[in-house]
Order: sequence, then structure tokens, then C-alpha cells
Amino acid sequence: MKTLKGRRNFSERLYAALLFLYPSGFRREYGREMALVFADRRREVEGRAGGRSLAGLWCETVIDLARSAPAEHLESFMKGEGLMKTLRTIILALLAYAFTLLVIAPLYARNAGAIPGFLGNLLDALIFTGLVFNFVYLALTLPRWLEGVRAVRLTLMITTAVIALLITIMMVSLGPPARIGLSILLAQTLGLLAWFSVYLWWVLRKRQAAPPAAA
Amino acid sequence: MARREPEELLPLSPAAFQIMLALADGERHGYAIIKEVEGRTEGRVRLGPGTLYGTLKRLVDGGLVEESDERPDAALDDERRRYYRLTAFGRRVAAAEAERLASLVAAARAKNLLSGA
Repeated sequence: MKTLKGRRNFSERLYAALLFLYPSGFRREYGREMALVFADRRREVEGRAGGRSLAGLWCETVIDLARSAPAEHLESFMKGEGLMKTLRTIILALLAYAFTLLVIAPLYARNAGAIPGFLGNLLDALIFTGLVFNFVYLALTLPRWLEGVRAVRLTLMITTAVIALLITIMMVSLGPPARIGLSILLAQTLGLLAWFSVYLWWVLRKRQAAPPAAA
Repeated sequence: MARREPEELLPLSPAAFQIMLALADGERHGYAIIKEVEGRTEGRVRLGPGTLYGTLKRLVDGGLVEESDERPDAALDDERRRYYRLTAFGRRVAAAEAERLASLVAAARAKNLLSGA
């Protein structure tokens, strides 16, 4: 009896652990009931035919998990719930950038090096380093780190502007080889500022569009 | 919110229709739904917990099923269970799906696809 009880507990504990395969929101809403249903099924099959039926129940359960867990994750992703909201934001942002790059690349291939000197270096660097690195950086960090923290956004914007100014002053005072490397740094800083401004604009616009809270 | 017609939601998935059939004659909790479906289909359809609650979630979100506030006598049942029932709109959708399937069966019968027709 003790062994049977231990096995029962193990099955239910294992199923409770497997519930972590579902999205967190779904698990919070239905996880407890799913565990109750599994416990009912387990009692039913063990009362009927012993361990062999328990194996059958586990086969059904694994198939059910394999079918339903990915479906729930897909739905959660499409609806943008919880962690999936961040993941969807990143994927959509990267897809949008990939599209932008497809448009920019042929233009760059035709015009690369057409503008000589510092301005040419800056434009080239802006296209292929500044925008890429900063876009990826923002896509990966902004949704998680800075959402709802206005003070941090403002601080970052001011810091970025100051760094851009300092690099510009350094570039003017240095010779041509150093200018190429610094132009890349400046491009990245400007890219960061540009993407950040777009993000800030989007957040403010979203806030204005939201209906005022009920008094 | 715009008024929806039941036909807009057809066809229902097999699991959704089975669950709505189980709720057609009264409210039930999850395990009772599984047992009703299993008994009615003579064991051919067995809903797992993931399929059951995933489908119930979509039915609740779509306004076809709602959670019942009423609880049976605590002495008779586990009060942790949640009970579900069809909404008026859900009943209309289930009826429309049944009509759709009946017309398909009638067409199959007219073409002698059903034995004993």
C-alpha cells in the first residue's frame, strides 16, 4: 500500500512538473484543475486494472501534452501574452530591420565610397554598424529593462547625446586613421539615439492614445 | 461589440463540439466533461487535460461557454473544481454546428455512402 501510494504521488508530482511545459498564464488559470483531472484519471485507471493502465494513461497524457502545449504557446505568442509579448516584439523588430536592410543594401552597394573623407566614412559606418548594432541592442534590451521607467530613458538619452558630442570634438582634433574608427563609434551612438527617439515617440504616442483612467 | 452570428464560428473543432455537447444538458466540471464524452462515444474520444482546458479557454474567450458561479454542496463535491456551462450564444452555435453536420450526413445518405439508409 505504501508503495502504491508512493507511485501515485510520483505520477501526480511528475504531471504537476510537466505542467511547466505550458505558458505561464495558461498554467495559472488552469494548471490546478488540470492536475485535479489527472489525479481523477489516475485513481480511475488504477482502481480498474492496476499498473498497466497507468502506463496507458501516461501514454495518453504525453500525447496530450505534445499536442496541446505547443498549441497554447503558439496562441500565447500570437496574442502577445507574458514573455511571448517580449519575444514577439523582438522578432517583429528584427524582421522589420531585415526588411529595411534589404532596401538599404542595394543603395549602399551602388553608392559606397561615393562620398570621400569623414562624411563618407560616417555614412558608411552609420549604415552598416551603427544601425545594426544599436537596433539589435534596443530590440533586446528596451522591452525588458526600460518599459515604464521614464527616468532611465531620459538619463540614457542625455548620456548618449553627451557622448556623441564628445566623440565629435575628438574626431575634429585627430588625424584621418583615427577618424575612421571614431566615425564608427559616432555612428553607433547616433544610431542608438535615433532608435531610442523612435521608441520614445512610440511610447508617448501609445500613452496619448490610451483612454484616461476612470475617476 | 458587433453582434455575431453562430455560422461565423463554424465549423467547430471536434474537441470543441464534444465539450459543448457534454455541456448541453447541464453544467459540469472538467473531469465530468471527460467522462461524459468518453461514455457517449464508447471510449473512442478521450480528451486529455491539455486539450480539454485549452479548448475550454477558447470557448470561454469566445463567449460560448462560461464559468458557473453556483457550487454544488461542498459535502458532495470538491469545491476547488470549477464548473462550466453553455451560454445562450454557445447553445445557438452548437445547434448550428449540429445542423451543419446533419446536412452533411443527409448528403452522404443521398449518395448511398451510409449503410442501412
